[in-house]
Amino acid sequence: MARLELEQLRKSYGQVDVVDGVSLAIEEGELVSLLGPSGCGKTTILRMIAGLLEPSGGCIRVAGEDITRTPVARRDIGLVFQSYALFPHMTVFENVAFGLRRRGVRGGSLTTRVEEALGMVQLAHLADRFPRQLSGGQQQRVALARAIAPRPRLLLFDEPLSNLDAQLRDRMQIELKQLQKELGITSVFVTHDQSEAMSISDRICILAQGRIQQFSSPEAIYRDPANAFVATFIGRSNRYAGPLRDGSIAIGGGLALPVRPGEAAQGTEVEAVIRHEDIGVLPAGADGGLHGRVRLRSFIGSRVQYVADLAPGVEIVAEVDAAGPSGGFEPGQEVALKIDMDRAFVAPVAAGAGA
Amino acid sequence: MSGPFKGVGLASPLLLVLLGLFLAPVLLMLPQSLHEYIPGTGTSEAWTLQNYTRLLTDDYYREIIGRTLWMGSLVTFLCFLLGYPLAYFMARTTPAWRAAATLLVIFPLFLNLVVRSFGWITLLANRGVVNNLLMDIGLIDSPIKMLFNMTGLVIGLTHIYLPFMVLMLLTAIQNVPRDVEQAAATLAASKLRIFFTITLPLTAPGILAGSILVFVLTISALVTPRLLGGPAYKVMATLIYDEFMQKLDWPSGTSFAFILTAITLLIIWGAGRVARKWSGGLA
Amino acid sequence: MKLHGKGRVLPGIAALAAGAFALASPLAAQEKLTIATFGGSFLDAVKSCHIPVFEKATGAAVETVLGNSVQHAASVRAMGASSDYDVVYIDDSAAMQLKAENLLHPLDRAVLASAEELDPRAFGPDDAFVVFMTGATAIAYNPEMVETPPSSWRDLFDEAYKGQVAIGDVTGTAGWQFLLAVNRMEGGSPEDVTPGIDAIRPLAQDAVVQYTQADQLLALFARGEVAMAPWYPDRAGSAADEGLPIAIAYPEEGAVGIRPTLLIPEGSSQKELAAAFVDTVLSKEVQECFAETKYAGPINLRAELSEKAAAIVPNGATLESLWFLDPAVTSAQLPGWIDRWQREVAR
Repeated sequence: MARLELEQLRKSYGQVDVVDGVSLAIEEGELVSLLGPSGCGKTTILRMIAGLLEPSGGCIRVAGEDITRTPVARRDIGLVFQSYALFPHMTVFENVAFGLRRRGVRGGSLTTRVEEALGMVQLAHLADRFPRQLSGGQQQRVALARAIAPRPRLLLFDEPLSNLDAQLRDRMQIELKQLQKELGITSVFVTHDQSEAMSISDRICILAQGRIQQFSSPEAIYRDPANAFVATFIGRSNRYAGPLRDGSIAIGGGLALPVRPGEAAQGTEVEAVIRHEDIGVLPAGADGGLHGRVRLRSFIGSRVQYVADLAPGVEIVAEVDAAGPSGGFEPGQEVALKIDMDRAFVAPVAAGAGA
Repeated sequence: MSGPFKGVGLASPLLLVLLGLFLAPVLLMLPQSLHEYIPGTGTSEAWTLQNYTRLLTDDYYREIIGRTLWMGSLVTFLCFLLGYPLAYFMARTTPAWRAAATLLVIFPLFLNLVVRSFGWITLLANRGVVNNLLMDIGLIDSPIKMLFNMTGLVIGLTHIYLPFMVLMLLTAIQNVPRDVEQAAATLAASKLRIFFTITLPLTAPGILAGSILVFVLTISALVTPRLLGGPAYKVMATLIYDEFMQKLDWPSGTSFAFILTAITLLIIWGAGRVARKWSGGLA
Repeated sequence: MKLHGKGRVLPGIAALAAGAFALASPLAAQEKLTIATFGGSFLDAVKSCHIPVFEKATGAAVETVLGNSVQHAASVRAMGASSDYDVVYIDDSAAMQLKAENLLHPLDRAVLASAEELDPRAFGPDDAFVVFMTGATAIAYNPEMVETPPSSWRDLFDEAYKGQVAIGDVTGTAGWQFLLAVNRMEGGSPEDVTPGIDAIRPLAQDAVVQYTQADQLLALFARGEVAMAPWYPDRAGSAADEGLPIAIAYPEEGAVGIRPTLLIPEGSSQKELAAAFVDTVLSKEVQECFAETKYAGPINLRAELSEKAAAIVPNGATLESLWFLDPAVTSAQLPGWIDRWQREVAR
């Protein structure tokens, strides 16, 4: 239960900077996700916080204390591994008791605290089992109980849910968030799954190529991406690029997308990122829409996704409410596509982090 | 063929080969061990168990059995003690170092057993390299007897069987997930404690396999005990050889061989049980 | 080459062809005889005296397998009815053991040309084997270390030579024969070797080595580590020829006689050829050759010895004083002697 600060944290292997000057502050009791594509440096940062990797530069502080060079064993930081990393030769009880014993907890209070930790993950009845006798989900819970039992100052999660099936993962996300709030332990959660990061985090830190792209709340990241990389990485989007002429982007096929004034200088190469749900699909000829023809229709639960051709070689993907009036177009039908350019992200091509 | 016997049916050709190659010749020897050998006449027709009871009641033979087991245990323990740090280093070092170390470990296996044993004789004899050196630098006044006793046997056999132990341990240590050790570190365990509570128990299967291999090879070794132990300092293998080849008493030799086999099987079984308990059922 | 070629190449080819033919034709038809014999200088003598004479006389080729008497006995027993060995060199007690197990093919005196010339005691019971030489276990000593040649087995126990005596392990002939010689001197009998065991125990404790291979002594004599040892005159003679400081003495109590024998296993597939080999070994000339090169006492009474050989091999007075043990007793008692020695002397 402490504030975590990273200051100009760096890790390089030879000439390659895997983590390139990352600074951020995580408030007490907050759950922050490090989100990014593989190779963005998120796991490296996590391992440096845990003490399993030595930073090439910069500083890590927990509750104001510099722990950059503190050995792992004395950091008081819990880590939940992607592989669970349970001790296969120990029972569930002994797994959970391991960290407590190292902190001098003995006898009755040891039993109480192990049972309490197992209770939190609803596994008190499996204390005598060995890890190999448990399902993947149960092993995940044991790993969680083992990490939280000593009540560390900080909890780190290294893609802990990626080995679970989809349904179980959804449940665990909710449980994990609840548990973290109950315990109030400052937590860092590494994931490459944006919906997981969205649902679980207080704030999300988006990383690419070892640098922070944006660090804000899930809503802010979704609604107000800081750059083209974030805009593309979060949500599902159409992406168009072309020169800016007369307040519109020429995207080929004789089509132009109007942009808000002041987004970029006349004549520069710009790109527009438009989310699937920010495109309305209307019957052909409707006012203010681009003309297109439906090529594919996919039903995805409450939503319907269309792939339509605007012009030869220019394609657009839109997603609408399945139950709404736009849910019923069929492939081959002519439609009008109305783009909400106010919500689109527009920026000069060079400005975004290349991704 | 159906039900539980289907598998047996599929495996039966292999099973027959294994039985024919390994078990049958051994069992053919069994009747041999149940007759008395009368020197000057030959093997008698009458059935008897005396070859077995003699080995267990005669204190000369009991001493040899005890010596053999003690030798096996010492060699196994020393191989483990020397082999584990070496294997640990090899498992955790860079691939280049590992390749170099593996070559060094395997290299002695290319040398003939007799040559290696004679090497030890040159080193350990009363006027050998080691004693001469110790006497020259004034550490000792008269030679330390290192040949034809347990010291020589254990040194020679440990040297010969160390590579087997190291190779078994190397695989076992490489198979320990680093995650699990790191998890222990994040739970405030020191390096030493991680080694003793995590790494060592997780390598129990390798330790068990290596120890059984070295133990069995040691107590059945013939050439090295003969050369380094001389004619008088006998172990089971040389005793059996002498019964066959010097006294021509094949019934006794056969029965001793069966008893050695029985002891070996018993020890393998016992070691398996202990290791299984210690490693939480992993071994 | 071109100019002189024809004259040289053609005879060359002819010679090659002839050589190839000479090599090929005997190989195709040549009979092969396998003999089991002893190694070291003994083998050298067998190769120079026995084998060439036989090969020349019969055209057969001889292969040798090496080992000691007991190893040969074990092999003969193991191979039983189809023996790879055709002739076996073996000591008389091991021969008696094999005879008792009905593993031997009796010799036919009628086909042995030299049968009449042999010492009549040479043939074993039922002609199961034949003694081909007389050896002995006597005292080998280093004349540079021992000024007065030893004259009794007791000299080995002399305090002056404590720690400079080597004895043979009981599994070797010199080992058990020395045990029995000391035993007889101390008043024991082959049925009761306790006096011998008691006497040898302290000697064994101080012994430089209890040798298991006869030639182990060579290096020890060469380095001056051994002053005296019960050993074989024939080996000592060969060693002295090599320049080693070694001489032989026959103890006054009588050296122990060794009577190595030849036998044909019942399982041999070449019994006629084997008998021919035995006959070769027993012939006067070959016996003389063996006596001169190997210092083996001849069993063929017509053999004549040079002065040098006569000084080493048992003959005349030394032959008279030799103590011969009954091989039937030896083969029955030897395992018991080995057991007691291993428990009470070597332990």
